[in-house]
Amino acid sequence: MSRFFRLLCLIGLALSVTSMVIAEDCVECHKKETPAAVTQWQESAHAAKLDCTSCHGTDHEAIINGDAAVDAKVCGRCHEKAFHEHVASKHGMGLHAGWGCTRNLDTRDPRECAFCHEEGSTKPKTTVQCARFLTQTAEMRSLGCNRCHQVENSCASCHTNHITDLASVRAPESCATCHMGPDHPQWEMWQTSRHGVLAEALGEEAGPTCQRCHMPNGSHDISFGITMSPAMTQSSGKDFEVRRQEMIGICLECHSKSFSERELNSADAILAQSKELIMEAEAIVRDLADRDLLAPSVQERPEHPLRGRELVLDGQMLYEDISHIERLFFKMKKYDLAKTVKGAFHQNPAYTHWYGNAELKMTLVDIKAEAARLSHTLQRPHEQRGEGDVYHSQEEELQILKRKHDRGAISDEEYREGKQSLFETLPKD
Amino acid sequence: MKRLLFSTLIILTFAAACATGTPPGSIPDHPLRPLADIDDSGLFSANQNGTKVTFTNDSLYLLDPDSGDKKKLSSAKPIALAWSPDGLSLAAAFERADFETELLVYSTGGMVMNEAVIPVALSQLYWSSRGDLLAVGFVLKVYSFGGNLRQLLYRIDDDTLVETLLTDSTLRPPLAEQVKPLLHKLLPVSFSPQGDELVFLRLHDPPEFSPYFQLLYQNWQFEKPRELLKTPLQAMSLNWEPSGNIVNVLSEEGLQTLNLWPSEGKAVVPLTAENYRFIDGRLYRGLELLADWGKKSQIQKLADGKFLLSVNRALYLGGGLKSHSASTYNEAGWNLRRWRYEELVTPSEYQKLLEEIDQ
Repeated sequence: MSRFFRLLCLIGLALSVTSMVIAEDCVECHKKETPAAVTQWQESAHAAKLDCTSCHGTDHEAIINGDAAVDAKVCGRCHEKAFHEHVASKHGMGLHAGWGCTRNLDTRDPRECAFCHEEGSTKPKTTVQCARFLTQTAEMRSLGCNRCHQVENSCASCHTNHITDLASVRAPESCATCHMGPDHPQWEMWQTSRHGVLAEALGEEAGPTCQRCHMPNGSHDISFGITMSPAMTQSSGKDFEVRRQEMIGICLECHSKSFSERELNSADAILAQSKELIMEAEAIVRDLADRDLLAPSVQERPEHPLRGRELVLDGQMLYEDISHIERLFFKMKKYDLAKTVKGAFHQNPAYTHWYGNAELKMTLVDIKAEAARLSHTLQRPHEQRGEGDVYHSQEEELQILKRKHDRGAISDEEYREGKQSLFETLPKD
Repeated sequence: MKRLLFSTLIILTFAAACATGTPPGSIPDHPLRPLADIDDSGLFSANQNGTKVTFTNDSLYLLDPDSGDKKKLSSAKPIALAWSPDGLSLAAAFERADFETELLVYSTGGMVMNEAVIPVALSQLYWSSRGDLLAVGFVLKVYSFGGNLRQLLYRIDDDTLVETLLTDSTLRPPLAEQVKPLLHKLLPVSFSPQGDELVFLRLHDPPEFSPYFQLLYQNWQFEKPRELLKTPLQAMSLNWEPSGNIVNVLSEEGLQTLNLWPSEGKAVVPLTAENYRFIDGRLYRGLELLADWGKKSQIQKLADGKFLLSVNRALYLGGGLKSHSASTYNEAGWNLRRWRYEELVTPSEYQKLLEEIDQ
């Protein structure tokens, strides 16, 4: 027994020496190759307990090939609570919202597979795809899409790779890397709101930061208190109530309940009012498509990567290879709506009104003007083809009716009646 | 493959013309009138009212049946003939190479008015009721790794040649070699009497599965064909009923009558008393046998119940058939058919509108 115990001790010692040697090898070499990474690790809280191999493993070739990425699951081995909160939150669905399979794309980077597939598995973690992602080059997908959307799998998105000083992730600037710009300028609208100004001038106790409202008490559930989906659809029922009460609970730290409720209810109303404008604009664009007045038409442009030859105006809408009026609609839906609504929820009047609401309404004016121009100045397709007889004219009207019927814009009865009134105008000889 | 060769010989010989014997008779009270001797190819065509008849007898001739005047149009023998609906132009197709066909358009005076070369072996030459000259052909390119079979539709409009791809199939090397000499008989094409729609076969040769045909139906003004049925590889014959709504498919499995626009969801329809069918040299009205001229005979229906018949290397003019409705052949009917294909009108709406035009 004592011999067996001694043998076990020797094996254990041998293994630890091997591991130590490897870890020491990492540091020795990486002090020259990536000195900042080594310094950051040496100065981090991890240095006392973890060496390089604890997170990166020992397969140097796999590390170099990008096959041993330190993803959220590696961090989750120790940071269990944070990991589970993260996975359940909107950040944990970053890839679900933003990725698509690049298998058949010419510009595919083979390393991208690891974002959606477990090693050795062809089963994707998600079937949701993003048309705007799929139309990009590999470089743009990497720098312009994944750098933010990789947050699902990568704690380093916010924490960086080797620094463990939480001051950097508790600073609101940490969120700005992704939550800024024309499609969702939360950083800018917070920074110039009373909350942001107070935080900057008097400190976090006077004005709340992103983390104070959205990640209270260090929670990694960044969906805390948020009642909207990224596509700005309000949740309903119990889910809405739970999330709303969470946010009111935060507001109550500084404001009265009635004030908090009134402000958030007003933002809800602005969301509903703004979406009415979007629906009005969408109906105009769809009507033009029904009448084959978009240029280029759906048939003339490259196929949509997910829907083929279909007019796509929802969250999978593209901003390239579309008509001018669709480009206006994209701006309205993706930029103006977000600025109006998120401006309202972030207590920023300038964003709510001038960057948001005014642009929303002025773009609708542009859309109406463009629709009128297309309707009045463009020849109808049968006229462009030199087919001016009543049959070709009525054929076009029938096509318009059919498209409206097929997309559910008119009922079966309205379709029948519409066709009948067209038939009555046909020559009978 | 043997089965394929056998069926090719058996089923399609009714389209060849090697006449023997004597015509047994015709429609009661309408005796056949001899017009001319023709050669073994049995190729003939008349304009719709039967005032101009072309035929081959080693050369291509133009005949006026009333005066008996005969004129030689070409010393070369065409492979297809088609008269324009106004009866003023004749299109003739001549084989120039394996996959090259020359099309010449003659006036009634015998002058060449237009010419075009299409890079396919011709399957069908047709003049639509609207005046579009249409030609369908195929081209097979055989490589070491397989074959590429394409069928193309050409619309010849004065100086312009509009090409439409009908089918594009990849064949494995053995099949490509086997079918190459048989394609003329394996890829029949039939235009609707109006000439706006056509039925044709697409050859499929999927890996790991047996090759098969897909019978397709298409209005050539639209890109997408519709599948009518799938069938094993075999020789088939296709022809339309005068209404332009029904297609007869003759194959090893027998005669199938396909209603392209069934009002009650039935694709196969019973014979109706007013339908004429010419099958294996026999002329039927509904189920009634009107005449039997032998398997090698051919017929072309003309206006006013007249018809042209080739039997025993001789060409005859006959009469006594019932005429079809004129509405489906005019511009309004053409448009309504296009609407129906595009599913802008239902079959019943189409029928109602057609009846209103007739009133």
